[in-house]
Amino acid sequence: MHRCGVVCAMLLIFAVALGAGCATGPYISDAQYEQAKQARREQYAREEREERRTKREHREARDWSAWIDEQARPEGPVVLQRADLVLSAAISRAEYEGAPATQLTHLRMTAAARNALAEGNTERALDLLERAIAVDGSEGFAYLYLGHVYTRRGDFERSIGFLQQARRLLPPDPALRDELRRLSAMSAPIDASGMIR
Amino acid sequence: MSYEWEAPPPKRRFPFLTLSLLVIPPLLAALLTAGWVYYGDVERTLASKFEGRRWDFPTKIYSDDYPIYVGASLDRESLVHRLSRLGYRRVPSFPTTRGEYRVVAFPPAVEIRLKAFQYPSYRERGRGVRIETSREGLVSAISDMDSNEVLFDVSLEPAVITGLHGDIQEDRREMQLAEIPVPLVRAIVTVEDRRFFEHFGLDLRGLARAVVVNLRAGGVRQGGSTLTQQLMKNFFLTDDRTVVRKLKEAVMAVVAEKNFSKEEILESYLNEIYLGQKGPVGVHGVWEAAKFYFGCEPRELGMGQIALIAGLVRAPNYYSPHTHPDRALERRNVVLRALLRTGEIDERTYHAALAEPLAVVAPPPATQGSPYFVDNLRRELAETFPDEVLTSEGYSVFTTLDPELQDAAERAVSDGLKRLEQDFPHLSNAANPANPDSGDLQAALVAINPRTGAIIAMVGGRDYRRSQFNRVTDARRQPGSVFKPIVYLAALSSEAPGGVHYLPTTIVQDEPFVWEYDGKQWAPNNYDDEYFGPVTLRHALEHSLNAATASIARDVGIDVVRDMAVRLGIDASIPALPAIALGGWEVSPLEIARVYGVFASGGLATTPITIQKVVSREGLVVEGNRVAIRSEISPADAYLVTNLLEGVVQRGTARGLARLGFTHPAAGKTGTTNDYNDAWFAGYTRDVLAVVWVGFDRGAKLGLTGSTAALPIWAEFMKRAVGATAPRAFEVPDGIVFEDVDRFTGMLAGWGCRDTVREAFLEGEEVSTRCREH
Repeated sequence: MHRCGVVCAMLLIFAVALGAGCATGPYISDAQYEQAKQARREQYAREEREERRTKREHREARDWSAWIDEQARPEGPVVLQRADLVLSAAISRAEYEGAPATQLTHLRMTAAARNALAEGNTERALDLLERAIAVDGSEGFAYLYLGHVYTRRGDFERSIGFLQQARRLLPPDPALRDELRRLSAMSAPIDASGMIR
Repeated sequence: MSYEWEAPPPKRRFPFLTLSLLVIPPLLAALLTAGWVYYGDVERTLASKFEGRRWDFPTKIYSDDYPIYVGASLDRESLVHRLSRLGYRRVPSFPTTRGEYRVVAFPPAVEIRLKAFQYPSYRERGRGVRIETSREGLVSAISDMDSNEVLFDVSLEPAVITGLHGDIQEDRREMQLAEIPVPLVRAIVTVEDRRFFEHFGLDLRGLARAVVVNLRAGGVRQGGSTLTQQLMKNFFLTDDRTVVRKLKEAVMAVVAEKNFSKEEILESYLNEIYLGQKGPVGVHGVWEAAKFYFGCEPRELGMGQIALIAGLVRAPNYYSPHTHPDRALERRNVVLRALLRTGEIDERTYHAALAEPLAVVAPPPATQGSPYFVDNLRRELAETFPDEVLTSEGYSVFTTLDPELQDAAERAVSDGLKRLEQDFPHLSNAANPANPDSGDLQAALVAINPRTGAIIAMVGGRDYRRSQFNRVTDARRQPGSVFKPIVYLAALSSEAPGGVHYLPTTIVQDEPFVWEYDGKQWAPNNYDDEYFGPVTLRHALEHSLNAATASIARDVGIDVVRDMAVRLGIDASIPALPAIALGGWEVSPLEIARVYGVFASGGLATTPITIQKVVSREGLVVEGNRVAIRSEISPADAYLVTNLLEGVVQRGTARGLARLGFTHPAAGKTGTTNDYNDAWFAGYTRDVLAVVWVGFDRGAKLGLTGSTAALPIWAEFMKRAVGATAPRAFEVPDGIVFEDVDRFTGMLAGWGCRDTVREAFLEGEEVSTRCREH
């Protein structure tokens, strides 16, 4: 009897506590609830996106092909606009001044290679440029475009040699020099002092 | 007692029935099995032949194409030579068909109707070009004869040097049946096997007729072979005339007919058929025949030419238009008559074809080939491609070889060595009993284009048949004085790390001295122990003074010299020992060519290349070797060395060059080792660099200097290389100034100085003191 009363009392206290708790506890409306749920969902989605993105970045950091693809676009990262201009100017000047025929042939071959490059025929362009060097090695344009092609291909070991030679031989046109410097910057190994060799 | 009748024992007969029952079925079964297996075998080999056939093509090795551009030095005589080597026909009038050219006297020009050629990166469709030359022997203008378009460069197509086809050298291209002109197909079918489309592999009617004809004539007059049988013969069988072979051929023909369509068989036949002999190479298939006899594609053949090819099938060498034009003409006319009779051609075509001349292209001269070059090439190719690929995939390898210069090199070497043996009898093998195993007097020559590193000619020894050892790439010999320019460059270079910097006019001491290093001593001495005391640096190099050179090397530092040598292309195993300054470390001629290439190209180190491109039969570039350059020294430094080496040729140890008939501006250095075992000359003009070594492989003493033994060979080669073109001076880079200086004091020439030199200096370093001694 006595024991039964204790249990009943405890149950009663428990029920009261429960009721009081419910009445005083944090109560949200349905709309609020839905809103909270939506927020939580969005947070998860964001986290997932974030994770996916870092994952992709990691993957891409190891795999250079995407980057190389970018370089291999018809116009590489450095657009040789000024060089094209200076080249065509050099041709007209050489024609006008009666420059040595080999020099003129070098310039025209380089211009033909430039066209082949624009058409996407890199093989033909390289053939022409190499021939231009064999015709006249004292003119810098073929070296510049060879360096350009190899930079675009990511073959920096090769491009640096041509760009160095181009730097020696090209006319001192500031804008052209700027393009050459930007091209060299891509393929040059950078030494401890941060200077491009 | 009665005795029982005893049955007599059965008479024993020979058990024919039993045995035959026991033996015949297995025997039959075995025979059947064997027949079945044989049949299956034939079927399988046939299938592999038919399907594998298209893959079984040799690698073709091409020389470099020959560029003609505005401004190029062009010797008309050598151009004509090149054209005839490529099978071009000289005509007196305007060239109208591909492969013809004419030489116009005034204004001087050559008109060429180029042959069509598929280059790796573009197609030459066979334009007609007019190449005008100026009086100085330079190309002044190039134009398209048909469109009058102005061009600035054209190329003569590369020549096939050789094919790699296992042991046999073959040269062919496969054609699809649809590509082959119909008249050609019909002509061959008409002449060789009229009922080809009706029979089952054997032509019983034809066979019977052949038997009757042959019996009547009492000898073999007519063959009854079908095309299929002939193909089988070409595929598998040898040329012996036995009944067994004939039977095998017949069986195979029937099997082939059962397994493959008439079209497949015909296509195979037209690609396989033997149609002549090109030196050691067989001419197989109609494509190759059209190329070989008429220098054109099959679709460009005229009716008369088609008839000739069809007629050649029976006996290509008997009817060869090259050796027996009369027989060939007669045979062609017989074929034409047959075609007319069967209605393949009409009366008008018949008469037109009959009137055609034979007009065959002269067979290309059986070249000596370039065995050392090809050997080297094989070695390089083998690094990338397995052997079976090279012999079957039909790759085209485009190389850097210039066949004309290769010829010149081979001739220069063999003539030069013969002349040496005449002039110095102790050199010939017969007169050399003291050294029986020293072998023949040998030489090596390598020529490169210094700006691109392309190897344009390579002779690795005197006679490839007797010694396959390639002395250009594999021989290690002491370079002697040929090494000295490296020392001088290290001294002259503006970027000298040691801080020691010489001018061409700096006075150096040419006197005996002892160089102590690592506790050891080394005393360089001059040839003939003759010392000149104080001399200019130029004089020391021009006259190849050992003591003066060694003192420069000591001053500059031998490790600086060694590093310079490695930078320029000497193998990095070279030690930093005093003796290397005078060429005491063994190197190969190719390494020397690389070093001099840096001087000749204005400071660029190139990688020597022989293979330009490997192209698959589909036209894809499988492997490409591109020009790679590395700027090693400044153009001005390189020019200083070139200028000094020009002095060697004008006044120094190589001054005999002019007497040998070579007068173009050239720079070079002779080399003779202390023991007179090796003679060298390394030198270059503006466009070509060549290195010559002469000596014995082992043991025997040569006893000659570089200028006696190697220089004449170099001169002979270079004379052919430059031909009758205009001399071209070396290019002077920016940063060089010239001053007239006294030859002996090295000071600015004064009024009294009679012996002066026009000396090159780096800008800002020119001497300023005037000579007071004279």
